[in-house]
Amino acid sequence: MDRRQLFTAAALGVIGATAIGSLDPAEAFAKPKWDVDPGAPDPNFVEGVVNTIADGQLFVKGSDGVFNRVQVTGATSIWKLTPTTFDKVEVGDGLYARGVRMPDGLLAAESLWVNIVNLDVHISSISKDRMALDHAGSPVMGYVVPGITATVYNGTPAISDMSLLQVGKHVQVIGAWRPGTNEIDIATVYAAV
Amino acid sequence: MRWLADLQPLVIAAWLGWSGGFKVLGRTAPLAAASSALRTLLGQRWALPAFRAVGFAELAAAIAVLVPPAWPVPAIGLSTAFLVYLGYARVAAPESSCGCTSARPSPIGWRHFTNAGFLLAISVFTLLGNGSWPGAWSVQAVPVILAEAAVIISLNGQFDRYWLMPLRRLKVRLTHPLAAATTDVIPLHATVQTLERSPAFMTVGQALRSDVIESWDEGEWRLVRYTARFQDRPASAVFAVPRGKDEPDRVKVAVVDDADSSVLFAA
Repeated sequence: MDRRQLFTAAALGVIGATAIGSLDPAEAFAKPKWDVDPGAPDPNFVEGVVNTIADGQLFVKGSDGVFNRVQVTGATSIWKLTPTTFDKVEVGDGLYARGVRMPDGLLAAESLWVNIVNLDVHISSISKDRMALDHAGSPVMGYVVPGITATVYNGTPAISDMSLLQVGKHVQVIGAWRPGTNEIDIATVYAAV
Repeated sequence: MRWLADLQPLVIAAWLGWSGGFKVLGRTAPLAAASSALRTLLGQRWALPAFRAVGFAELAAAIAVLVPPAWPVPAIGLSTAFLVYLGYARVAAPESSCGCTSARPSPIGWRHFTNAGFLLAISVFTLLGNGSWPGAWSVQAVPVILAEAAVIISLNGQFDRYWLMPLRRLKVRLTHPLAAATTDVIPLHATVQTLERSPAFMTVGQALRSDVIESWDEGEWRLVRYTARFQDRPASAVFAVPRGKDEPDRVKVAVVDDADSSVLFAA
C-alpha cells in the first residue's frame, strides 16, 4: 500500500485508530509552547531571497541583510502558487519560512511560502488569460492559471469562474511573484460583487 | 489659421485655471504636494508652499493669456518648466506622483509628457494669432474646442473611470477573455475554506505544524495532508473533505504516525 492509499484509508475511517489515539485530545494538545519574547523578533520566522540551495538547505538573505539557513525536509509544506515540492524552489525566489529555530541558528522549516504576494489592487484591464492590475499607481500584470486560479466572491467558497470580475473594481489578490518582474501568477482573487 | 490660434487661449486658460485652482483651493492639494517630486526637490517643509505658488503662477498665466490682448509667454514658460520638472521627477524621484490636477496616485509617464507637450505646442501656436479670442468666436470654434478638450481629458488619468473603464468593461462583456479559467477542477482553496471551518480541523488544529503539503482526490472526497506533531511524535494529519460541497460537518481526520504508520487519532 503506498502512502497516499494509507492516508486515504486512515482519513476515511477504513483503518481504525490504535489505543493511543483514543486519548482525550484536550490532554494531547495541552502543551502550548511559547518561545517568543514579547516585542522581540520571532526567532521561528525567516524572510528573504534565496541565495544558494544545497543539500536541502536554503541560504536566505533577509531584507534586513541578515543571512539565514533554512532546512527543508519531507515534512515541510512548500507553497509556490500551489502546494509543490522542494525542487521547484529556485535561486532568486523570495520566501517566508516558519519553523523551529535550532540551537546552531538553523531554521528547521515546517512551512515555506515562495514568492507569495498579497496585493490590494484595482483591475485596470482584462485580456486573454491575464489581468492588468493597478497597485497604488504601479502596474502589475496578473496571469490567470487555469485549474489553479480561484476566485472568492463575497466570501463564499472559491470557484474557478472569473467572469464576474469587473474592470475598475477593487480586488485583493494572493499570487506568486515572478522574480525580477512586475508580474504575478494569480492563486486567489477576493472580490465583492 | 489665425482664428485657430486665437481660440487657443480659451483652452490654455481652462487647463491652467483648473490645474492652478486645484493647487490653490483643492482640499487634497496637500496630499498631492506630499506625493509629488517637489518633496524630493525642496524637502517636506517647502513642498506645499511651492505647490501653492505654482498654482498661483498658473492662475496668473491663465489670466494673462485669456484677457485680450493675449500674452502667452507666461504659459509657454510654465509649460516648458513643467516639462523640465517632469523630466527631473522621472529621473530623481521615479516613485513620485505627478500631483498635477489631483491627488490620485499617477506615476509620471508618457501621458504627462504628452499633456505638457500639448500645452506647450498650443501656447506657442497662440503667438501666431491676433491676440483676441472674442473676435475669433464662431460656430466652427465649438468642434475645435471640444476636440482639444477630448485630447486633454483622454491624456488625464483621473477621467479614465468615466470613459476608458466603461469601454474596457464593454470589451470584456463582448469577448469574455477569461472564459478559459472556468474549469471542472474544484479549486484547492475551496476545499481549504470548508476544511478550516470544520469541527475536525478545530479539534486537531493545535497539533498542525505546516501548511498544506499535498492534496489528492478519491471519489467524492478530496484528501489534504498537513504535518502535525502529536504527543511529541512527528505525524501527518490527513483530512477527507467533501469535494465541491461546502459541508464542513462531514470532514474527517486521521493523524498518522510518520514512523510506524499507526493511526494515532481519528475523528
